[in-house]
Amino acid sequence: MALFHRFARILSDIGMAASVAVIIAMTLLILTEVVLRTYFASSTYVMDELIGYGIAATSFLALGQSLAKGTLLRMNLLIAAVPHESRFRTAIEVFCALCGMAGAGMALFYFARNMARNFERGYVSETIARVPLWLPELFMVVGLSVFLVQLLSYFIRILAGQVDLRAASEADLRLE
Amino acid sequence: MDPFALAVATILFLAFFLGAGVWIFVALLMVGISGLYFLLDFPLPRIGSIMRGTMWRTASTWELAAIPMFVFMGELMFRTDISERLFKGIAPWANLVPGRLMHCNVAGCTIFAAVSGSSTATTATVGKITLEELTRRDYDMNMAVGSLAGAGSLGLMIPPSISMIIYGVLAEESITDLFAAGILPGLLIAALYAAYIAFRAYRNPLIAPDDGTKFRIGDVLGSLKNLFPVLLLVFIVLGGIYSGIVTPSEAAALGFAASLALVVVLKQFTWKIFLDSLAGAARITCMVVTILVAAAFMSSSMAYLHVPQEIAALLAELQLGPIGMIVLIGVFYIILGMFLDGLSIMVMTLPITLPLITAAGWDPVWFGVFLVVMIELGLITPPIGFNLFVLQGITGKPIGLIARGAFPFFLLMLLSAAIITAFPGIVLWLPDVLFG
Repeated sequence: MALFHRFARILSDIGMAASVAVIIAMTLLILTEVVLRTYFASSTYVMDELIGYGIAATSFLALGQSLAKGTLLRMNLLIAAVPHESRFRTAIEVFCALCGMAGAGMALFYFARNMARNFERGYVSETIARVPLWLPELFMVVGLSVFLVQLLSYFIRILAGQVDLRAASEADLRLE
Repeated sequence: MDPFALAVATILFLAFFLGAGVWIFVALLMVGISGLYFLLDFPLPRIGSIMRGTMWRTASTWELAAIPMFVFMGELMFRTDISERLFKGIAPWANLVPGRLMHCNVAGCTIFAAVSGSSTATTATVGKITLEELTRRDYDMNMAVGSLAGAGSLGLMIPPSISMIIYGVLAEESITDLFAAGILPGLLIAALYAAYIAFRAYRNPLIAPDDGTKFRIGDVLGSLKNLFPVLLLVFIVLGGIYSGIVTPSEAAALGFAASLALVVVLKQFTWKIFLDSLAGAARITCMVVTILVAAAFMSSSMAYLHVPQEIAALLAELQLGPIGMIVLIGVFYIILGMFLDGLSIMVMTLPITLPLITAAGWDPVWFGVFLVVMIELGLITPPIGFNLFVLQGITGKPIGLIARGAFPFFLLMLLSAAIITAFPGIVLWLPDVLFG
């Protein structure tokens, strides 16, 4: 099991690295656009479209690590009132993890299905860039998959009693 | 089921998932799914298709790209000696007025808010140094912590602002206009805070005791050198937007590059600082965008359930005028702000409140600013108030004590909400003058 938790952590780190790389790429693309427009009266003509894909990719690729680091917001007011060592508290956390798996799992399923359809039929965007439509959705699929693996690892650790639920009850606010 | 019962059931779903402590973006997805599945008997493939469509449309909104870049700027600045520079830059000026260095909180937050898009970054960056300096000089701790909690929330109001970007995307309003609209109200709040501090210190000099420190002309001139880096960043980011040369997203990219260059020039660049700031930006963006995306799905499911129409019809029966409507919505937001974070409040309620507000004759840009004030109030009200948490982290004092210190500033912010409601021109004048 330890091997699986390590796998989840490494996968989340890779997702985070990819997310950061996309932020840098977006910044460079926007700066290129500004320079082209200001000094060469020209344009990349694809900025809006690619930046749109970029922000979706950045956000979803970082999901796994955001979950692991506790950056994803949750309302802790009521659960903080439940003693953290109680069975009820563990049950709440199990319920939360199951909800996460159901919600994100369903999103993953329909994104993956749509991506496969776009891939099979060879659909491309109706813009000058003619981006194959499966490509940007691939980032969503990868991001949601990483999130689910990380969540599964969390779920297993809760059942095994390896999560300090006191920490999960406190305000999820990290400014590192 | 009759429409009203559907609306009530949806709200109960929401309270259940949020109350159980499910991650907010997951909770919103679950409310959307449960509403469509249990209340409207939609088959799963249809729900999946609605879910995928709305999530993708919102996630790929290019205006959101400004968020990681503005957050990066704030994170980078937080990790440098900028807070020290802000303090040294403001102190010689602040020392001249009653309240002395206590004003470093308000002035520091006001200036830093113009390079940072979030209130937590603003509060944490300014508080990192001022609280220590003020404690060392025996300043009144209640006032020091309270004024910082209040002023830190200006990070949301004074552009660039993540909240304004989210509001612009949700309300389909120009982010540039919103960035212009936030300035005067932001300065108004800062002025009210400064006046209150000066008044209190005038009545009771022990709040800000004279520790004998004298600043010379050289210090005043030297202060400009300390403030120069931040002011340069403000000029690049806001100057670009207001002159119409660049869009907010482009200004964010320029700010990203400029802040990085500044850190290199100031010889504070390390790869660790750079990568930590980027990772911080990625995580905050992830948190914000996933909530936004899930809320888009939930609000489309609420539209299928006719929840906004039901609530609108209910309120129409009350026959409130424009003022009555805004007061009711204001009270509603203040109560929500005690239990939820500002982002969640905004994304969950806007599909319902925005049509009501515009129907009552209020300008959507004005309402964006009003809503940000309401969210700022939520930042300093217990039990859930993010700025209180940040200050608890810095000072180690109990939340209740910090909230008590922040209470006068809560009232002043409420006063500013009343002022902009009575005089909407304070909000709308600048965007009008700049962009017509």
